[in-house]
Amino acid sequence: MTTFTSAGMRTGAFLIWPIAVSGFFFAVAVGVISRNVGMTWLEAVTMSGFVFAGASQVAIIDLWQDPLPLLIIAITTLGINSRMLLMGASIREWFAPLPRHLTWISLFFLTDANWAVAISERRKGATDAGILLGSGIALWFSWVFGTGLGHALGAALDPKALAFDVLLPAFFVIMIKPIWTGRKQILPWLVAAAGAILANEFVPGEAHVIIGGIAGSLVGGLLRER
Amino acid sequence: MNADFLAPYLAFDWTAMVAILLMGVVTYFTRVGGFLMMRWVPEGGFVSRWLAAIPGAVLVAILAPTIWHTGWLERAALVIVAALSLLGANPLVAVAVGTASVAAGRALF
Repeated sequence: MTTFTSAGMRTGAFLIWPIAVSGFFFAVAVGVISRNVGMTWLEAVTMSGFVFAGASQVAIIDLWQDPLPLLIIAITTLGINSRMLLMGASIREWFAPLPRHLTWISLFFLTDANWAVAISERRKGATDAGILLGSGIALWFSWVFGTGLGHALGAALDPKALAFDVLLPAFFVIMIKPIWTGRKQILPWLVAAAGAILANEFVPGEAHVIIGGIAGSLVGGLLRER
Repeated sequence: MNADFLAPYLAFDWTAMVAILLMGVVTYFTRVGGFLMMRWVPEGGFVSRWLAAIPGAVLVAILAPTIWHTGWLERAALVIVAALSLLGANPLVAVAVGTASVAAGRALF
């Protein structure tokens, strides 16, 4: 059973608002670090509005340099956001009966947070697929406004004294926690870390992200469930 | 409000915009790709286990060389962030405490 109403969209926006508030502050920090690596205000806001995927944005900001490694940027974005392939697959039975344009619009606003909210409502018996879009739009506004504000505020701050260079690795540390599902990941992650460190020493450029990512994920794929 | 005030906000580099466009297109593909294609990927098979393992491996691959090369002060701060996060602290608080402790350390030493 599937419906799609504006009441469902309002429900989604209401359910997501605490996450949207914390997302706003994350976006402020992302705005600050984007300025720190030399992105302009328009570039930072366009990235948040058009890409709208925090983990991949933080990763690419880490790779931001002159000249921009476009191929590495594309592959790294694909690797980090590939988790959304599984999320998109999981809402298939819910969205399949709807007119396709509603699905294509809703999926633009798909993120980890509103997927989790929508799928948990679905498991409780919700039929209204507008929950995903409404919660996604709420997140999008807080994300884009936060980025713009953070980039503008960054002008008044001293990046070295305030340790903004630590913001980026600190973000990665906290992003890893929700992805941790158990000890089965120790071996793939060790392989990813070793591959990345070795590649970083011996391969020029930023290929270590891809080499470590492919090596670690292949080991993860080869391990069978126990 | 005049054009001089707005100019730094509206400045951009074409290559940067191409990079952002590329990221956006790739990301939208991951959003619709699963909906379109995953019915051909058997659940629990190699491909789905591999896909599930990619994001963690990529994040670790980004972080590992940074930790390898950074200073002891920064490493200690990242351990604090990880510990706070594992203890269930708000992620933003964990990041703020970690960053602030490096800032304090730099002011002291």
